[in-house]
Amino acid sequence: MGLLVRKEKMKGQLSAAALLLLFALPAWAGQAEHFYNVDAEVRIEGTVREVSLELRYKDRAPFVVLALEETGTGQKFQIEVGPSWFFGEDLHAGEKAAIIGSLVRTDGDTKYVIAREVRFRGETLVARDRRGFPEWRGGGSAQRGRRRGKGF
Amino acid sequence: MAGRRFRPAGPAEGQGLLRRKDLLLFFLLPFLGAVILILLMSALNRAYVRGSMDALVTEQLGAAAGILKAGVGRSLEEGTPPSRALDIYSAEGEIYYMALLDADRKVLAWTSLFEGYLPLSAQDVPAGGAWVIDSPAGRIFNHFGPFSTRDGRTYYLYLGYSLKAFEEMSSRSRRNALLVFAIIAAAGLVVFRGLSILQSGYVNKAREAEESQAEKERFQEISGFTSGVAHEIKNPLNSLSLLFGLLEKRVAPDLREDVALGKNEVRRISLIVDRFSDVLKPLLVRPETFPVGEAVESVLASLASEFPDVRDRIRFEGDGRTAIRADRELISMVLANLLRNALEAGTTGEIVVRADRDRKRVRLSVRDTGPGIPPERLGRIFEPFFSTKAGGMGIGLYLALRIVEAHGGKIEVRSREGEGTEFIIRVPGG
Repeated sequence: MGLLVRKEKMKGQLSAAALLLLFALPAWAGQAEHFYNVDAEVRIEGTVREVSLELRYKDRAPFVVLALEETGTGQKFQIEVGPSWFFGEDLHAGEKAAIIGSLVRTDGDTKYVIAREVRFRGETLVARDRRGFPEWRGGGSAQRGRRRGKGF
Repeated sequence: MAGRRFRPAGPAEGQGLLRRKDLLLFFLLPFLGAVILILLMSALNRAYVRGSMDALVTEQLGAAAGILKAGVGRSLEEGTPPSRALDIYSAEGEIYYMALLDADRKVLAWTSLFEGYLPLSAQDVPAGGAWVIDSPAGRIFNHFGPFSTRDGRTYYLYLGYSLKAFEEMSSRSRRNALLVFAIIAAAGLVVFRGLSILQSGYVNKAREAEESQAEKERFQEISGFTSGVAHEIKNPLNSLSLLFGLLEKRVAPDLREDVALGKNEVRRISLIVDRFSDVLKPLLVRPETFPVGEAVESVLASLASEFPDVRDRIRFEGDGRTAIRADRELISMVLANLLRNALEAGTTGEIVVRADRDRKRVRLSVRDTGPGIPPERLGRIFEPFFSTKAGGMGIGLYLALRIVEAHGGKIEVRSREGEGTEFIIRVPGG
């Protein structure tokens, strides 16, 4: 079952998760390659297998992370989208999604990607600009995920 | 309402337009040229300042990057891990992000104010190692350059420095330039508008003077010509009048009535010639101060022979002691003309003469409740030889206009068909 990431529904869970994860940044979180590398952009289409919240950056709110299985190849991806308050959408396991993002590293059989755009249900969530600047830090559109056009 | 409409032929209409064109040519175009020049100079100046600022920033930030490199290099020499070495100078304030790369340009450690934001791209790095990018957080100065530690290892330091402060300075400078430009433009427009008004006033006055002069010359010409004609007509008329007088005495009784009719017609022709001569004579104004009531009273007395019920039909309102500074005879002539017109207008209602003080002037009005003047004729009633009355010569109102204007006054008429007519005269008060 998909994880509801709508803010109001997640409020209690987020607080608990934040407490639990405050001192539990992933071991790779501070790793050198974990930045939006514009020279390593990829496009992936697949099925969401899991939606979770993870602490990705020190002193920052938990991020929505999608576990995605690429259509055709079955390659597993961990897609870092953005803070849950910015994402503000319900996304369920089993839904189709297309990602444009930067491939930051490969760990075993899983590839880690920082998303720039996430397309699902016919809409596009713009998480970062072309150079990887986070939309949630960029003024007016930072209040909520900016959407444009139609996907798929 | 209709004021004076009659005007003799004046200067060509295009003359005023030509002067306006000259004004545009000599004032507006140079002003616009100056504004464009200011804008151009301002743009060039801002481009120069921006270029200088970029060069200065490149130099200064290059120097700052050199200091950072030295510091990080020392830490690395001391065996500090790259991430720790960067943490000492962690991204904060004006430095948005920093990264330490090895000799193969592989990122060893980085730090950024924005989550995952490190816009380092092989496509961006220029030969000089300094460039500027735009971001939602403003323009960012980027520096990318190598440094070496004492043990011979080569590293690269990449950093992004916020140009927000410089942008604000530039923005303030632009705002100030725009403000100055707006003030100059507004002042220029005000000056230009003032000049335009002055020029327009000057052109109108000049045109009026020219028209007045032309009218005077034309009038003198006509006056001279008609005086001669009148003189030539009057001589044979006098002879005819004497002849009819003799005939009247000697002719057979059954023909006396016809002779008397002829004598009357000759007298009428003589009267017409006299009136034409009066109109065409130059007006000589002999001003004196007298109460308006006296002039009205003398006019009523003179009209009584023509209209026996004149005192029943005309009522005087206002203060008869209101003093007026004018030629008594001429003003009486004006009043007599206006009142005669009102009495002959076919009204059975009352005719009101009113006199009021209007600051330094006296406002005299003659109002009747007659049939009024049709709008299409109203604008022409002051023209010479134009009359709305059957058998009228069209001289009375023209003469009234000339007399009032000779006093430096104004005459106007308000009329509504079926309701009546009012003539208003404004002449100097005593």
